[in-house]
Amino acid sequence: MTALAEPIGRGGAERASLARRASGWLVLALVLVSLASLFVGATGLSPFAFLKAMLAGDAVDLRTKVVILDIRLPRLALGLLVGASLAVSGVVMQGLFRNPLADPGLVGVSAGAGLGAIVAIVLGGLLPPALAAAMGYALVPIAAFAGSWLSVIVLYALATRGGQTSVATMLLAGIALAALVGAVSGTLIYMADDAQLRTLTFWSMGSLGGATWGKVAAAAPLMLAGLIAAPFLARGLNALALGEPAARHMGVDVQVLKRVAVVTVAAAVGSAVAVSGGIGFLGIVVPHLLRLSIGPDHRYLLINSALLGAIILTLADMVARVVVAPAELPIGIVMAVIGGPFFLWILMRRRGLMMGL
Amino acid sequence: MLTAETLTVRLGAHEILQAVDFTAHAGEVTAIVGPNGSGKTTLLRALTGDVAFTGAARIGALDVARAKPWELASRRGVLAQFTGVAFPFTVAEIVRLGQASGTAGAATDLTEQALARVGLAGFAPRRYHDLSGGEQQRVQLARVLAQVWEPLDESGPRWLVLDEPVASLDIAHQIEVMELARAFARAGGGVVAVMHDLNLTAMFADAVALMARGRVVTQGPVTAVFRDSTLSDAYGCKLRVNVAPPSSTFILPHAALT
Repeated sequence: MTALAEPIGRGGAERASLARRASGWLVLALVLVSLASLFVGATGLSPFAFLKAMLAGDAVDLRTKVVILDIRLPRLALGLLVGASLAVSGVVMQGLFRNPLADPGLVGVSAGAGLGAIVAIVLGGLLPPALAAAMGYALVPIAAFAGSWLSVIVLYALATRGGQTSVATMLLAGIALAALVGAVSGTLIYMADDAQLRTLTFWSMGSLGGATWGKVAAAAPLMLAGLIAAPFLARGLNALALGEPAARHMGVDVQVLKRVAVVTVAAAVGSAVAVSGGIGFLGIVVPHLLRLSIGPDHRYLLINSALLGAIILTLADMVARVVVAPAELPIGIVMAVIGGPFFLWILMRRRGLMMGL
Repeated sequence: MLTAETLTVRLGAHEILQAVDFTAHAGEVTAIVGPNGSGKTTLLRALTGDVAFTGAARIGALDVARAKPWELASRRGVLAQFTGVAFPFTVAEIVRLGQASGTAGAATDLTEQALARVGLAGFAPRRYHDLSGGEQQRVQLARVLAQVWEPLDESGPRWLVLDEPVASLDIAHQIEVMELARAFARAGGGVVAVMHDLNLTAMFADAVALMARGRVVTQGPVTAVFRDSTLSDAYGCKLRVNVAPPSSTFILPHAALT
């Protein structure tokens, strides 16, 4: 985190080399945090004993093997992917809306996902028993994913006239749609019984608990697709910072950029929310912290945001798992308790330099 | 050559541009002048592909309505009246955006040279938002210059399309920017600029198109277009064109002469 202490306002070349060094440190931190998360938890495991046994070719006892390979490793994988996806989607949305306060919620992803989850939890019992049994625990994630895509498609269609998408219309229609979705969600919550309410509440606070390799396999492809697509948007998003006309004058096909950006975010956030519930905060704070230290160039911002987002979510998940062990805190609460004050502290320290952000 | 043929732009029921014909030649600075609301900026926006139009607009071999954004970007740079920047970029980062989007001189970093051309040597590490309005406008000009760095290459001339390039500048920088435009044209490129200052136009433009009420009233060399009656009719006030020795033209409002 030493990079955060660097003064801003330096030249592009120095900032670029700073950004590359930051990537190096973040990769190192990511590896360390990942290793730590495998050995920290309700069941204490010694990494040295584990490694020694593995290296010596001894049989690792079954309990350890199950905890590491079938519980913590898929959870780690999910945390890394979700953290990176949420942070990168935040950068893309902020670039698209040319506003550092934009987040994936603005294109209806979160509201749609929430509605999908609520519908599945409250009305899931109305499904034919055979179908409900076949979908099992996948019902809520699938419904959340479908809801997020549905709302993105509706918003995009509403904001597009004659082949041109108005970002401002999208923003306003997003607010209207969120209100509408809120009303429907409220009605369903009003109809819900106590058990359903409890499920809903926990879903909305987010959790990486219950991660399995099956869940990872289902959600990873779209999150990875979003993460791989995002860096290709970097040059276009940089140009877009100067406005749509200037971006076009510099050779960017702005309409294609918007379409790819929205699809990228819908894929990454839709699947992230589907498997982890409502985890806020990352999409705004991670890009913000990085902009303060390495500058706003999206070529570096996207990659470093992916790394920092993955690190922070994995750390938060570790805290969520240990503070009230053997129970778990919802990760959304951990993110807010640690992240909120930290972010405020950064803001206070930088207050004099926030102009133009 | 940069041309417009029977270019018409409609906004709702209004025809903002009515069948405008316009030609600019490489090697020259072509100014578009006229009163407020006469369609100068709309003509410029049609030429850069920013508004839908009927008729034809061409930049060299490129059909503006059909060409891809990156094809146009490799042949012409555009300076708008105002360019807002969303994030805390440095001056150098903004100028590099221009260079990265063009095809000229990609091998070497043109940032310092481009900034020096607009009188901002040493500004590269500064934060864009810390600069004054006039300085910001010159940073944008440096970005556009870096995009079309070589005025002429094997594919033909490149173009600078400028919308009121001197509007927010002091008199010394007005002259500096107009001299830069003229140098770009003399090196084989083409310049089209919307201008408000008729005296600067008389000083630096080779050709001028005078617009009024959505039409090009007349187009040609400055001496042919800048006549008392033509200018007075277009602007709706009495103007007198004076020629001072040896051959510099200046325009005064009639009120100042009485």
